[in-house]
Amino acid sequence: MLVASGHVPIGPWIALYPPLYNQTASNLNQLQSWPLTASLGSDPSLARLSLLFRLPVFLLDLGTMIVLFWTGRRMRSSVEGRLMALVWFLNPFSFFGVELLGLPDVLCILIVALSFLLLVSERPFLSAVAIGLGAFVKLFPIFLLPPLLIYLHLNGVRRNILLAATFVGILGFLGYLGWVLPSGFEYLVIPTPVTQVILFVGGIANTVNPVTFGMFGFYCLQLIFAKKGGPLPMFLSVMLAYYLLAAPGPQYMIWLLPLIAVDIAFADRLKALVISALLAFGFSQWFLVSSAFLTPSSYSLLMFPLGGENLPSLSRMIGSLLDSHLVSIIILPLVSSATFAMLLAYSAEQIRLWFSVPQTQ
Amino acid sequence: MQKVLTHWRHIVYSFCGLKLLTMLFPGWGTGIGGDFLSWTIGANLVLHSISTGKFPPLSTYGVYLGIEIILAPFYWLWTILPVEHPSVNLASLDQRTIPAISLIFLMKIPIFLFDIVTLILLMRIVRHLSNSEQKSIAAGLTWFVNPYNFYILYFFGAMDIIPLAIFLLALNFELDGRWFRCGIAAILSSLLRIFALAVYPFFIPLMKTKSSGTNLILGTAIPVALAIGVLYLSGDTLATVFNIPAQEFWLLEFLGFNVLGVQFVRWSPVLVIFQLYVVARFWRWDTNIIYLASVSLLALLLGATLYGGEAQHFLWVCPLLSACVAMRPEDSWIYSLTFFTALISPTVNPFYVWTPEPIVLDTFLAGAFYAMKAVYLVRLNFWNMRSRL
Repeated sequence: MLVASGHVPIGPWIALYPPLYNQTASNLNQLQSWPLTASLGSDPSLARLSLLFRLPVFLLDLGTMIVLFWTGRRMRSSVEGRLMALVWFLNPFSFFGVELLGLPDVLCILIVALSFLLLVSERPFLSAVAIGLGAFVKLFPIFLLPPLLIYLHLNGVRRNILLAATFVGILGFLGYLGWVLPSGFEYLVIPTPVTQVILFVGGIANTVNPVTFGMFGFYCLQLIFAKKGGPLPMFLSVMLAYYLLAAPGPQYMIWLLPLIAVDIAFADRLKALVISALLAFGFSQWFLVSSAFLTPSSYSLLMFPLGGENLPSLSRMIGSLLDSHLVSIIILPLVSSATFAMLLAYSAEQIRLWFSVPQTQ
Repeated sequence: MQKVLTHWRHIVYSFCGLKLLTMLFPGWGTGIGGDFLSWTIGANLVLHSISTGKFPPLSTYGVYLGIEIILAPFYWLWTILPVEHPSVNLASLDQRTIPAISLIFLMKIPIFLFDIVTLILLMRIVRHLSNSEQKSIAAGLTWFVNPYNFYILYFFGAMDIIPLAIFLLALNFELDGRWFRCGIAAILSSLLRIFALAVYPFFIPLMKTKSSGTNLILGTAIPVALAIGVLYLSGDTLATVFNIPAQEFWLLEFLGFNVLGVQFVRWSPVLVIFQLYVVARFWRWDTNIIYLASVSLLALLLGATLYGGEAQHFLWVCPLLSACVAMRPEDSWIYSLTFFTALISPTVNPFYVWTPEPIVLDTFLAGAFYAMKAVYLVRLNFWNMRSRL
């Protein structure tokens, strides 16, 4: 649809769906008029279309799982590797986001996971290259460049590697701007499925931009207080800080998921509880606010309709529950607040580790 | 101070007399105005419903039903008094007439009784925790002679004292290790006013055995099941309960305001849940229920806007803070300053009218009160933290 629209910046994302890209104009029209209310079994061409859409992201999902397995194996043993891989792959969060909703962000997630694997494999420059590549595709991996540089600095990595890492990271960021800006400056502040809003600019006139203020302050505190800890708390705390400050929506918590999968393999009981609660509340929040569950639109990723006529009683019951005031005025605020509180708690957990010796290596 | 503590019984008796006199001679804002009139009208309607053989429906009385059922017998006592019985409204009840004085007195008797119950339960809790008679007396006195409590109970007529006393009973049961009874009392308090519900997760650190959790859940479930049964018998359904927030819009203020600007995120649950995490991660394991209940309720009050910001709702933490100051007298300045700011907060009406420029001072006074609640919360957290994080 992005391709067919003709004017939205696409950049490197065009390579993600080659089968679709090579389709004829009539197929693109079919794609544009994809009836959201249709069930997948009703039309074989729709099933094929769905598969074409989801196949690339599924492969990236598998790739992320493999990278996480190798990360765990590199950090301790294949037992941890398997745990990390399964926490990612069997997670309802990633299944819902990647396979059902088809979030293309999984490409960047794979690159971030790869960057972390390279870092724990003591290949810092390649790790920075991965971050640069990730930033070229979508903005968020660039936030990991400062903690990477701080980590390398604290661990006595040579200055020329530091400079090279900085260079490739910034190059990736400039590359991102290179494919976004030709379509207009508005794509720095207007979201599309593949671009990301740069929250560091804009905002209310004559005021301080809160995300810029928060992230600059956070990086400085990290530089001041972080000792020779492992890279994981530094990476995760930055992503959590960005998430808390920018609050881009529950689906984007998936950006954090590979790092969370690594963290959970080494977590104590309380931290495991915090992570589980975070994922459970986050998933519930996403489930409730996702457009996939908007009723009575008849469109449902639960694979049965929630609206329309002659519905089974279970559909009617779930549909009326999702539409009820109880959900919108009590359950949703409670679940969203609980997610936010757990994010705060998890951030505190990560920041605590700045001050401790590495446990994960 | 020693002398004051020695004569504590005389002080309590004197204040009992003063409180009864305040109830007997209404005026200067101690009459039937404000919430007190609403409670009285509610008790009248509930009594009428019961006298016609029908259990008062939840759909009509909403969240006030429980307390109004408790108040109904006192209203009934008034109806059998050999005095005139004008209809209950602000205009017909002139506070200088015998019917008005007798009604106000009778309707404030539950406040007086539960005030004394609170005193007794509070002293018992502190005696149990500190093993000190003097600290127990200090806690009792700071509760009973506290001008803020005096104003909120006998001038404003806050019926929150009823569920609050039941909540303190739950804390007493917890200290005795009687978790089943603790569950019953805590859920009864929560059904009357929702505040105690926020304390539930904070019971977890105190559960030393598996059976305590089971007993708490059982004790909680039984009154809930009974309440649901009564609900259906009175012709209502669970849908009635779910619709209450739509009817009583202020109930949602309990969730707090959206200070963070994040979609759907409300400040009260964020603070309470984060406080629970702080307790689980950073607190000592030998902490007690007073500190746990205090931080949970303070977090709740800090998060809420009007609901928690209204001065009368601060009543919920007052006995707990009395216990805290009795056990840690070195920080009594925080206690004094907190209650001073509570007294001069804009929602405490008599003091409000004395301020020359209320609009200008509103935000300042409210801000000072809010700040002191936050300071107390932080202080309590630091008292209970392990030495090594």
